[in-house]
Amino acid sequence: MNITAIVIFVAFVLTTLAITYWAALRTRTTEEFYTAGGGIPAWQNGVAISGDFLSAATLLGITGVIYSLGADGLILIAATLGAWPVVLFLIAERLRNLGKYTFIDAISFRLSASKIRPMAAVASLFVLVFYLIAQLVGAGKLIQLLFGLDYVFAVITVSSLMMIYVTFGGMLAATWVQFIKAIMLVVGGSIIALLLLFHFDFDVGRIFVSAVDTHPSGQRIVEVGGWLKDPLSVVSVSMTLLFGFIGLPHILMRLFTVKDASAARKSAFYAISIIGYFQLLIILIGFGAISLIMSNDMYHDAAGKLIGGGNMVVLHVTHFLGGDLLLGFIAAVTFATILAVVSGLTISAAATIAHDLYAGTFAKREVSEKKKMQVSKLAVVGTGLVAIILGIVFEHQNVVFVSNLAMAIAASANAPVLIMAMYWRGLTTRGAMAGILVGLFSSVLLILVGPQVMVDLMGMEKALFPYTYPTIVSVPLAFLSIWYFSFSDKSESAAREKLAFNAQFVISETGIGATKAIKH
Amino acid sequence: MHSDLIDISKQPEFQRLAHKRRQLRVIMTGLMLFVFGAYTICWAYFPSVLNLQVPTNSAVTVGIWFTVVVVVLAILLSAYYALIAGNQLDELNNQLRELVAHDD
Repeated sequence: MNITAIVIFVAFVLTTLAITYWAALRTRTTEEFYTAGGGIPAWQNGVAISGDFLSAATLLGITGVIYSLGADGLILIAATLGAWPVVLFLIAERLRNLGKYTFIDAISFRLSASKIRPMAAVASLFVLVFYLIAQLVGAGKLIQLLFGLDYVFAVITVSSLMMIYVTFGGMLAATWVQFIKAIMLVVGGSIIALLLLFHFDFDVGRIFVSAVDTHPSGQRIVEVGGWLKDPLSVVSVSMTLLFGFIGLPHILMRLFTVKDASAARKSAFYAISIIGYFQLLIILIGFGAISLIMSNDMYHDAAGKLIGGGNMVVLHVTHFLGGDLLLGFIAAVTFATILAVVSGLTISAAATIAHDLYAGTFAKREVSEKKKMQVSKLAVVGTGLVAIILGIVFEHQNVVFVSNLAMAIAASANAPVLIMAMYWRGLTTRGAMAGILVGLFSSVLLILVGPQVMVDLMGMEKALFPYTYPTIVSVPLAFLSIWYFSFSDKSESAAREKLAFNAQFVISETGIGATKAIKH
Repeated sequence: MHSDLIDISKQPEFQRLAHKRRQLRVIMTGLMLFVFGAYTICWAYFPSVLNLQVPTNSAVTVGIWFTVVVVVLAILLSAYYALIAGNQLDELNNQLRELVAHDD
């Protein structure tokens, strides 16, 4: 047990609970609940977006991948940074102008909402719930390791805090939690990197030389080709991350919390800068870890295995460089990170359930504001309970494939239809529905018959589908079905939908009409 | 409402705005995807290029440099789009919105 970690973490929880109380007083309407009334400044929202992305998986996971695979892990970093500007250039402004609470608003803008919403909502919930499971299971194990708490107790604690933040404080509280955590994370990462550079006399080259000298694979650690053997696997990893980021509902939702398209664009830029800066630190920390930790007996058990496994690399290197004090700080930040990310996922799931499914689809009449809020809060509690149950069920499962599943569905079912809805005049309701269905089913199916399930889980020799990431097939398939089923749609409603693109185009480019609809 | 929007779409100011933004989007997205695409293709088909050391015998490979270049380029392109070009287009957009408001 690390006293610093506990003190910092308790301080974080108390501060965020105080903020939740403050936010609760300012959260009365659904608009305030889901978008903080559109009143978050662009820079603050940018920090929060970066926080949503910089989850424990990024901090601990990518460092772990570099630690074990070396330069091969860098493709994850390049793909992330390659994807984000595309979100900024193509999606951010139009999404803000066309949508209200969720990206599904933008998809169904000129299409038949009663048909599109339920289907898109289901695909979106798949992404959010899988992501939530992956985060929670990882969190439970990490907390077990860091604080010595029981796994089930850890999962329940994290979920309960998340339910309190979101039920009472809505998006305003979730944004502040994310904002504070992101700042702590960036400060923590910078301190580790500085100490690391100091250790190597500020000679970056020496970090890499020392890593090569330490790692049993030697020179191969700075070379590529050890992890992804065949070219198409590389392409499929790139495609998963590129399209996956375009389709992550909880991150897209953040673009609605600022006042207009211009602010949405700026917040995306701030997010990219912070994420990019942090990823550069991760490169240093990852290779630094190899040279400092790999041959150090203190961080290995009697059998020579790294204590706590690959996820603990960052924490070990922190301890090596900064002792118990810095370790405590980073451990607390990690815990805060998990809390903040699951809160962001939960509010997005609640918006999908209450706004897209309940108010947008199943309610027969116009839903009153009060009723909508009740349903929203119920949805938060429901999501929290589902998360606890699944978190416990999945305790002993390999969750890597669960989070890959989330990214693959986001890339195949959400991203293609969102891009086409914004940019292709010819899209019709039929085409959009076909795209979502094909994207969802092909990505899930190909993961089920792929190596992660058939070889890793079921122990078969060879999988039916050779690639870990199904996107190389499922994304083009989704685009193709969107095109074919729209193109061949000769119905009257299809003609109307194509015509309605003109009006949508003006609103999405200028925000005329859009701002009025959102600011009452 | 609907017909108002169609009228706006015929305004020369709107067409100029839409044209400029489209051009910017195509160039920026194209540049980013070109560089990232080159990165992916090198990774997939020409790993030996990425494994060259720069400077020689330094343990730092082209692959590491290329990753840093992608990160820095992403930040620079985003900065240009969001802060410089974006603000100019906001200006155009505001002029258009004023024009429309006066017409009412």
